Amino acid sequence: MERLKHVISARQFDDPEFLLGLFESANAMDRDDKFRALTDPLRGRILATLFYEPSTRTRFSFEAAMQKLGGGVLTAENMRESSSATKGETIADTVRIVSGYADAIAIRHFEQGTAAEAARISPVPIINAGDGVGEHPTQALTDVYTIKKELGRLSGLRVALVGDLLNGRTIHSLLPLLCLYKDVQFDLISPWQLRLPLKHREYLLEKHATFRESEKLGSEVLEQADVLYITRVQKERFASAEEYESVKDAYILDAAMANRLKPEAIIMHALPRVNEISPEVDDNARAAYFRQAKNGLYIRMALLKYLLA
Amino acid sequence: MRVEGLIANHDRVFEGAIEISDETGLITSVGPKTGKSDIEVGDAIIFPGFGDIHIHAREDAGGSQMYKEDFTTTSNAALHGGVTQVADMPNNPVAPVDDARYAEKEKLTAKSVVHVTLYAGIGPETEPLTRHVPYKAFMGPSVGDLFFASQEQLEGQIAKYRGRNVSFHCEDPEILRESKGEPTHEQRRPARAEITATEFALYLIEKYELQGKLCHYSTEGGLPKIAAAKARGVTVTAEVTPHHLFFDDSMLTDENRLALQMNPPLRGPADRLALIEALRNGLLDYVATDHAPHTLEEKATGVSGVPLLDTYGAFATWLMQEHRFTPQEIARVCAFNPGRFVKEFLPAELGEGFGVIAPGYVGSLTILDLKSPWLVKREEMRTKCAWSPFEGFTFPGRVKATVIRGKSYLQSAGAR
Repeated sequence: MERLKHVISARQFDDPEFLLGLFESANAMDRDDKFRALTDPLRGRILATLFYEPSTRTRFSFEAAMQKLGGGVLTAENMRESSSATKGETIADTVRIVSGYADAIAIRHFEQGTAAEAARISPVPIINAGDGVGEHPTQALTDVYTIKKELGRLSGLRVALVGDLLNGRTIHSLLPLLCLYKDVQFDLISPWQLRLPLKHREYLLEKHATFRESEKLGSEVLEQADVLYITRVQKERFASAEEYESVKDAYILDAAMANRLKPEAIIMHALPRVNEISPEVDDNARAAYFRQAKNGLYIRMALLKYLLA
Repeated sequence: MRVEGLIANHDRVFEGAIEISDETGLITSVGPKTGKSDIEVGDAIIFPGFGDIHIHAREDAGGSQMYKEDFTTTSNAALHGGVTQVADMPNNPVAPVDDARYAEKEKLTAKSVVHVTLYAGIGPETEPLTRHVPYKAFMGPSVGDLFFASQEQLEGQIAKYRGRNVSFHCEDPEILRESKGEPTHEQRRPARAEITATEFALYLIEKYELQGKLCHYSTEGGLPKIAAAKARGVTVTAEVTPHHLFFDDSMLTDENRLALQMNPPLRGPADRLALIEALRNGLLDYVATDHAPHTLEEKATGVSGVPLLDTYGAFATWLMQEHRFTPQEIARVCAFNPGRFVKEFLPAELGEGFGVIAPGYVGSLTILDLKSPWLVKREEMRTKCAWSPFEGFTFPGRVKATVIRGKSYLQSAGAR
C-alpha cells in the first residue's frame, strides 16, 4: 500500500498487512498509556479539529489522541454557526488558512465529499472525521480493531448490521474493511426504507461477499452472529409515525435477546445510543461498545503517529 | 500434515480437514474432508491445542530444584496430557524478576517441545521489565521468596506495574497468620483468606488498570465479587484447577491428606460444585493446573502442591462425561481462553497464536478419545516427580494424540 497522506475513505486501507501494523501500534499506545509511559513523538505539532456538525466524542478522541502524543490542538466546534462560514467563506479558503497554522486537520462536515475536496488543496494531512452520509473511516478502523481485539480474528465472521443502513456512514466505511478478510458473511437488518444503498450492495457483490437482507432481527440472526452491530434508527427519517412505530421495537436489544447470542459474540455500537440498546445489556460480557469507544482513542493515536511522526 | 475428523472450536463443532505447514508449523487451511488424514482420528474429537497457563516447571539457572522437574520432563508430561503450551510461574530460587534473569531463564525453555511463556515475579524490591511479559504477585507465604508482608507494601509495588498483566495468588497473609494454630491445613488457610484477598486484588486491578488474573480460584464466596467486577468492566479473568473441581474436603482421609495438600487448600463440596458451574458459565475462564511437582518424600513431610500436567486432557474428558461440558465449552476453557492469555507475549513466528483451529493459528492440536477409559498409573506419569493425585482413578477418556506445530506425538498403550 502506498504511503497515505490523507485519510478520506476506508477504501484507502486495502492492505490487511498495513491494518495489522496499525493495530499493533494501537496496542502499544494502549499499553504505554496504562503504564503511564507514553513518549511525546508529536511534540510541537498541532492538529486542528474543524467540526461543522455536532460531535463530542469523535472530536474529544482526536484531541485526546493528539495531546497524549505530546502535540497540541486548535479546536473549533459548531463551525457552521460560529466561524467565517457564516460570512460565506468557502471550505477551500478555510483549509488554506488553517493549514498554515496546523500540521494536520481533522474535519467533520454535513456534506458528503467535503473532506475529499479539502484534501485536494491542503498541504497538510486531512482526516475525514465524518462527511454527511458519506464515510467515517476512523470509526471503521476503530470497529475493525475492536473486533480483532475482542474476537481474535477477522476472517470467517458472521456480522449482523442492524438499524439505519441507509444513512449510517460508519457502516458504509466498515463494509469495505471487513471485505478484506476471508469468508465474512453479513446479515443486513433494516426497515425497507433504510436499506443499505444500492452502490454498497453492489460493492458487496463485486467483492463476492455473502449477505442476506431482512427487516426482522430474528433468532436465526441472533444465534449465528459473531458481531451484532447496532445503529440508531432515527425517527425523523420516517415518513409517518405509524411506520416508525411498526419497526422500532424490533431493534431494541434487551437482555433476553442479548443472551440468545453466542457466549463469545460481541455487541457493538458507534454511540451515542438512544434506546436501541437497553441499559440492562451494559452488564452483559458481550457488550463491547464502551470498550469500542476507548479503542477509538488508541487507533487515532496510531493514525496520527503514522501521518505525522 | 493433514488431520481430518470432528473439530471442536470454542464457537462451533464441525467435520473438517486441517492442513498444517511443515515449514512454518502454522495452520494453512481448514476445509472439507476428503478421506485423507495423517492421524487416524476415528470418533475422537480434535481440539485446538490445550494450554495450561499456570505451572511450576522448577528449572532455573541455579538448577537446585531440577531433582523434581525440569523443562524437558515438564514438556513430556504436557505432551502426555495433551497440553501444547504452558506458562511457567516465577517462584524459582533464582527468580526471573529483571530483564537479565528473565532472558537467562527463557534460554532454558528451548529444550521444551511445548511452547513456554514465562511469568516475571513481583517482589518487594522489583521493577517492571523493559520487555512486555506477564507478571505474578504472591500475597501470602507459599513456595519461594516472593512475598509481601502487608497490603500497603503490595500496593506500593503494584503501583509501579500500572497497566501490566498481573496474576494474583489470593490468600490474605494477615488471616493466614491468625489461623496458624488451627489443627488442619485446610483450617489454617480458610476460605475467608481468599475472599478478603480477592477484594484487595480486584481493588488493585481496577485502580492500577491491570490486566488482572486471579489464580487457582477455590471459593464459592468469592465468585460474586469476580462477577460484579467483570460486569463493571474491570479487566480480570480467573483460573480454576482440576483438583479444586474434582476433590473436596469431604474426600480427605488420613491416607490421602498429605498428598492432597496444596495452597489454596481443598474446600467444601458446595464450593466445588459452584466452581464447576462458574467454569461452565464463563465466570471462571481457564482450567489451569498449578502443576506443582514435589517428590513423594517431600509430600510426606507436608509440602504443598500436586502434579497435574499428565492428566490435563483426561480431566477434560471427565468434565464432559461427569458434568456434561460440551466440546465447545472445553475448547473455550482449555484452549481458546488460555491461547488468548498468552497471545501478546508470543514470538512472531507463532502467527495468530494458540487456541483456535483456523488459518494462521499454530498447528498444535489435542485429540481426545472419549470412548477409551484410562486408569491412571504411577509408572505412566512423565513428570519427574513421578506420581499423580489421580492414581487409581479411571478417567472416562484419554488423550489420543498431541500435535505440536504439525508434528504428532501419538500416545502409546490403550489408544485405539
